[in-house]
Amino acid sequence: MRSISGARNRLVLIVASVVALAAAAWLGVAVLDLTARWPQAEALLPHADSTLAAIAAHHRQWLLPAAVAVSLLAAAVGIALLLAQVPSRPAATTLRILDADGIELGSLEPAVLERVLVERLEALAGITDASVRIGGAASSPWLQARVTLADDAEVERAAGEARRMLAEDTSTVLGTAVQRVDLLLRLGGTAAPAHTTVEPAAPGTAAAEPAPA
Amino acid sequence: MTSTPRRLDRRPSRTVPASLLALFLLVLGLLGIGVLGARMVDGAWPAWTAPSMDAAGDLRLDSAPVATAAAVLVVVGVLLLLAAALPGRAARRLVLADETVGETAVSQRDLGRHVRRRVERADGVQSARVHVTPRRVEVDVLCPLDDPEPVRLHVEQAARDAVDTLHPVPAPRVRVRMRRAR
Repeated sequence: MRSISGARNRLVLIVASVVALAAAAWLGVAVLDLTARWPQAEALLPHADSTLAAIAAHHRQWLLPAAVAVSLLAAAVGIALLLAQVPSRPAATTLRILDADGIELGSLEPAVLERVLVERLEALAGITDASVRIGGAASSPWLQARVTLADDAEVERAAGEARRMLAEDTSTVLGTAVQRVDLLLRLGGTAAPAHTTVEPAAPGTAAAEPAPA
Repeated sequence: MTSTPRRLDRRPSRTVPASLLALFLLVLGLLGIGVLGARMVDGAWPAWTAPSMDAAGDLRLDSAPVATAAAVLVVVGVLLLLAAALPGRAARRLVLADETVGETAVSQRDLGRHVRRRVERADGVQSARVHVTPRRVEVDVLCPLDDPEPVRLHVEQAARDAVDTLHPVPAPRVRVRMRRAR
């Protein structure tokens, strides 16, 4: 399942809030004229009667290049943060099946197993759509699946069957118990497709001709 | 690849404040590169910014516009801090725990839709609206009858049954409000 890193977003928001509050504090020192009340910090704190032009002139050696560098950094962070809002998922790695001695018996692309599991899920009663994601190593795989249930599906039974089937089928293929099976249910609101198949009648057994009197 | 998957009932990723911040940084950065870059190369502010930059340069630090800017920065900083620190309401909740290892989840919206469909099947219900919070499922029912009270029992039962079929954790309380259709 695709996701966005909440931890990264929160970290960036905290850093931005600290920068904003620090800038506010620096301006607040000047607005409240704290330099007059605390002369020891005169070298560090701004004066209330200073102008922005005077401060810029005083630090002209480094202020302009630094401001350009900060602008470049801000634009780069902005682009990176925007791109980070596109949901993504880690690249799948090939599942390598080993024997007891650690010798590779074979390998399996996760996408192949995922496709099979999706087909198996969609064959279950009440499930109209499904997607499966396999992660971890072949020795400790985990699965995350998303299934859409029909409006008239028995939710508890369908979800239980789906998770059981995912765990058992994966264990059978990889020869190891799954680490976890997570299932996201979507209660779709559409009717389940009627899985009714009409077999073509075999010759000779078709609608019997009425016997001549 | 991560060794364990992310939880299904995780807290919101703060996409909206992060996107707004990203846009702000991008605009600010591009503006800064344009204006400051021109100043660095030409030795003067670009013509379209010169009056504003001169006016800003003449501002004393104890002037009202600077005090306003400081106040705005405080508000923005606190809002950003709250957006980062508050956990926010999870968009999904865990349901249907069973013996298979792992978890099953459903979105709050789908839970509400599920309850609404069940409630709207009850006799005497014209329409229903459902609002789901972590602790409560609030059902607002429009009923065509003069006295909607007898329908309430059916609605409450239907809503409770709909919630119970999913065994959500924690189990929310069902609250029904009946309104007469005009």
